[in-house]
Amino acid sequence: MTTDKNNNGIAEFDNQVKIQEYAEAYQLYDLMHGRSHGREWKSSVFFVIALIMFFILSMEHFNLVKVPAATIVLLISSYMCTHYLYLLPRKAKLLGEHIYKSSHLLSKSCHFKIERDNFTLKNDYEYIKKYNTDITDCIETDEMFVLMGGIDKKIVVISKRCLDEQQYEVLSHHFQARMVKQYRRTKQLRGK
Amino acid sequence: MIDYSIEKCFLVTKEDYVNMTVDKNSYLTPKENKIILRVMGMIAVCCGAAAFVSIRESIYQILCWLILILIGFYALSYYDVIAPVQSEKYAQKYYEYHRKQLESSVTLCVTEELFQTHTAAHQLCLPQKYIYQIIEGKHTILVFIDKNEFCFIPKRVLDDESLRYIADFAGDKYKKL
Repeated sequence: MTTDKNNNGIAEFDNQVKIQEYAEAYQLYDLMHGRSHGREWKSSVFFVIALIMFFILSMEHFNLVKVPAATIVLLISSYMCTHYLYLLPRKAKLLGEHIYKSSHLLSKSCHFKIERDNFTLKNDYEYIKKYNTDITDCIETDEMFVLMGGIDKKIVVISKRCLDEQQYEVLSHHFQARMVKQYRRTKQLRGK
Repeated sequence: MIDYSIEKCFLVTKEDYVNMTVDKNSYLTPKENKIILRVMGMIAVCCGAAAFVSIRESIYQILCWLILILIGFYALSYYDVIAPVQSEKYAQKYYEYHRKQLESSVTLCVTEELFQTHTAAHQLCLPQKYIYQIIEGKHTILVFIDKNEFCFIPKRVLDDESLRYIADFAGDKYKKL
């Protein structure tokens, strides 16, 4: 591992992603751009519908036979609320695991070269060059950096396990400075 | 296996990108979803039609049955007509927005053992065993590296012999849409 600050080079290192890390990164991607996107407001809508149905049922002294439509809507809304808040993020994580298992490349060690305006990753089978402007989201969690975007919508995961203290600080500072709009620092996910 | 390799160089046009998006979405949609929606559509059309013929007490009822029939037809035709049109529109907009990156020249080479593509930003050289699946769509060949990531070859750049060669190369990983 080397850190080269000459010739626009920010850092060079080898990175290998574990299944758990990729699954979490995919879950993050799904939360931001996938089916789980906007899950808070979607589940809130169903929660409000469920509350209204509950109110209607209480007006009828919880006589479920008298207002079957309200009962059915209450059940469906409650399920949808849970679906968006808890089930979808878990499903996304599982899908991330499936994708990792289906790929022969994701588990391979990659050589990263981070430069001022772009970064490249290279292994025995693949070479990718991405410019910072291609990236729509750069998310730093406690365990990794997740770079999303580009025309191929690929998720690039840089595990902090593979970085030493100095490299981690250099990278964090670089992403904050060079991807001002895209950079975000997150806490642990709720659906984890 | 036929003893030759494929070497092609092509430019990804807007039409290629749109066709690829339609083929990809068609492949990635689970079959169960298609079956469930078609069955539900069929039920809605049948129930609506039966009710329309037998129960006509008020104009509102007639309107309800007509809406039910329309919803049924919408569900029936969704994956065959509506979804491809939506995908096309989305892909056209996406291509226009990202034209600079998408309108790239691709060099493709398939030999007995390796699948290789080369663009300015992405180089791939994969042995057959590392390919997840190769899908022959209506207009494109989708080469999946894993369940999610893929590259594509427009069918217009391949003749029948090249298509057969790719099918032989993929073996049991080759699937027609």
